[in-house]
Amino acid sequence: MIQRLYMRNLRGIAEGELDDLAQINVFVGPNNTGKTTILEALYLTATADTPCSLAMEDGAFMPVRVSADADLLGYHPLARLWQRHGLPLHWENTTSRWEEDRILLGNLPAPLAHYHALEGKRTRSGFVAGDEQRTAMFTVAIPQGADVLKPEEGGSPIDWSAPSALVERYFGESAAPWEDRRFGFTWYPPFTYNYNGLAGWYSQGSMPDAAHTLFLDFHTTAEHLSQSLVERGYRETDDWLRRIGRHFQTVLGLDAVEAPDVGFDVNRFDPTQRIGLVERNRRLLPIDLWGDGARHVFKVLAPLLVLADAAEKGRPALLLWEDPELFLHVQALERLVREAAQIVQDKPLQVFITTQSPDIVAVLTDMLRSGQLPPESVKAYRLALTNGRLVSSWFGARNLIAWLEDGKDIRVWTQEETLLRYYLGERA
Amino acid sequence: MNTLIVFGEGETERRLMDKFWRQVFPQWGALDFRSSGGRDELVNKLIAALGPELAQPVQCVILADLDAGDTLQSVQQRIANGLRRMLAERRYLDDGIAFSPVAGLANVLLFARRLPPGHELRIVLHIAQAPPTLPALGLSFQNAATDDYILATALIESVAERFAHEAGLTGAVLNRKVTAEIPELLRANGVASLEAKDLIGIYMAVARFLKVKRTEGRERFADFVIDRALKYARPEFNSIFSSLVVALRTATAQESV
Repeated sequence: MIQRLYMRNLRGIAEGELDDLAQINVFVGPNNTGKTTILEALYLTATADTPCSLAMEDGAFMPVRVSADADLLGYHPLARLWQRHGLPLHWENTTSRWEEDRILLGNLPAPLAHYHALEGKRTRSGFVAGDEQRTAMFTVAIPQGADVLKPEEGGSPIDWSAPSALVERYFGESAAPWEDRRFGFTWYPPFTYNYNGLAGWYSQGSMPDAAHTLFLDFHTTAEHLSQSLVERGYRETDDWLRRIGRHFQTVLGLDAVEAPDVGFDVNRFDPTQRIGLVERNRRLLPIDLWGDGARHVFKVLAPLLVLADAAEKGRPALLLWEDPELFLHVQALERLVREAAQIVQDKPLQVFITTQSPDIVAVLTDMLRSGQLPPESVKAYRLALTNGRLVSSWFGARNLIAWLEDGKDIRVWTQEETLLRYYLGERA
Repeated sequence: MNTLIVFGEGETERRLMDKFWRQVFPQWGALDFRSSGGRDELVNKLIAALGPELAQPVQCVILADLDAGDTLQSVQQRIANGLRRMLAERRYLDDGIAFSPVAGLANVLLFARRLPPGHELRIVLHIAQAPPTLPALGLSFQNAATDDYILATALIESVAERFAHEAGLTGAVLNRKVTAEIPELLRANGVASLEAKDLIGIYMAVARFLKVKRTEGRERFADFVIDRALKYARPEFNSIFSSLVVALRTATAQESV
């Protein structure tokens, strides 16, 4: 499980850290306080699972990892993040250049300046043309895992001290020791604080790989499920379609007669039609013809069941979930959160949620209070960002219960700010 | 916007603070009252509710009763232990929790500390003590609670006069029945131990509060008592609640320590 996350110069966060993370972590707070950046830092770290080498000018190598081709939903991680922010998928100003089977990295900012190339077997034939667009970051682990890319016989040696030297130069000695951490760096300018050229972050604890990482947001509701996800669900997840249907029925409050079956029409090739809900005695109705709330529920449940079944000890999974409340009526939201919490419970699957909804906090608190979730399984973090410095305040089970019983709103930093109280006339 | 967090045991304290805050500190900011629901839960509530606030400047008042068997020191120690647990849970260094008396008052105590990255945690503990006017009237109780202050205020002559008038009495008669005649009758009939809240009940009954105001809540009674004291007996009111005023001013750093 990921226990700690530290970020420096990443997007709007000049510096910030989160400690003692739980299995289910909920981030609340005003807009522009770093909630999404936290999800993205975790996403970049988890999806950088392709071993390769970072070559120094003296010929030595440092084993690193770069972004995988696809996460659980089938997205290329970097492209996915750029797209989320409306950035062009083609990085015109990159100083990197593809050359045969490697990427030459031009003019990296200090302390990366003496690294000049990414090499290795990213694909069977090494790096390919176009990869220079997608290699704006890498991660390095301390200690190195067993799967590091070994040099060829007679080739240049691995510099085993390089990772420690690099992170010490970037993060400073005071943050040591470095063991059991994975460090990430990106030099993609829009992802660095004030365009300052280099962002770094690290996580502590076991980190999933790209195939076990699910990032749910606005886009996943609006877009079609990928063929790779559907095939994986159909092939690897027990009773997948029936389980989707059952949870879908519960979340939307459909009774047994109305409950649709979920169908998978292999004879259709249009991806919008490949999977849908079969209403009883009617033809398959593709999910994207349903309302936005139903689409959202379906596109949460379908990959989440795949992720939960894939999670296993030694190969944990990660759910990053932005705004679960999207399009949902409060009762459907409550049931979706309950179903999701029950799906991930007892699994090596860690959840990070960002939300503006008090209902999500309330549902999880109610589950804690009633013993449906163990007390240590949920933590909420209230965030603030002042001059780039992330300030966080955590709420464990006892805090959440006390606050909600008092009718207090954990999303705001002073209770005077709550509009609900204002409208109820408590300020009169 | 400044927010003062106040911990108290129940609804009487909530009402008192709400009214008090609006009347005495209208310019300062918001009041965030947290009720523990009783003495035994005060420390747990303090840890659960105050812990998440420690990431920002905190100004807080804790209203504690002094129950039979307790001393000022034992209450102080119980609260200090709770604060120590809360700070440890949040990984703040344990530099010891030391309360200092404020303005020479033994029942108003300040604990202040700078927390990383540099904001102040400022907590004032106010332990209830019977206002001097109660012993002067021959009244003494085993416990000291917020009710002592409400009773003392209700017994202010000009306040009692208002309640008595609505019941067709005089203030002197009302006060005599509440402080002497009915308690003596009860004691003669085996009811040995009376607390301030019992005398408030007697006061409400004699003043026919239920009939006149159509409410039987002690909390609502406290509202009326405070309103009338602020209107007709401000100097006496200030004297009775002087330690609470000091506590609030200290917590909001309006009074140098």
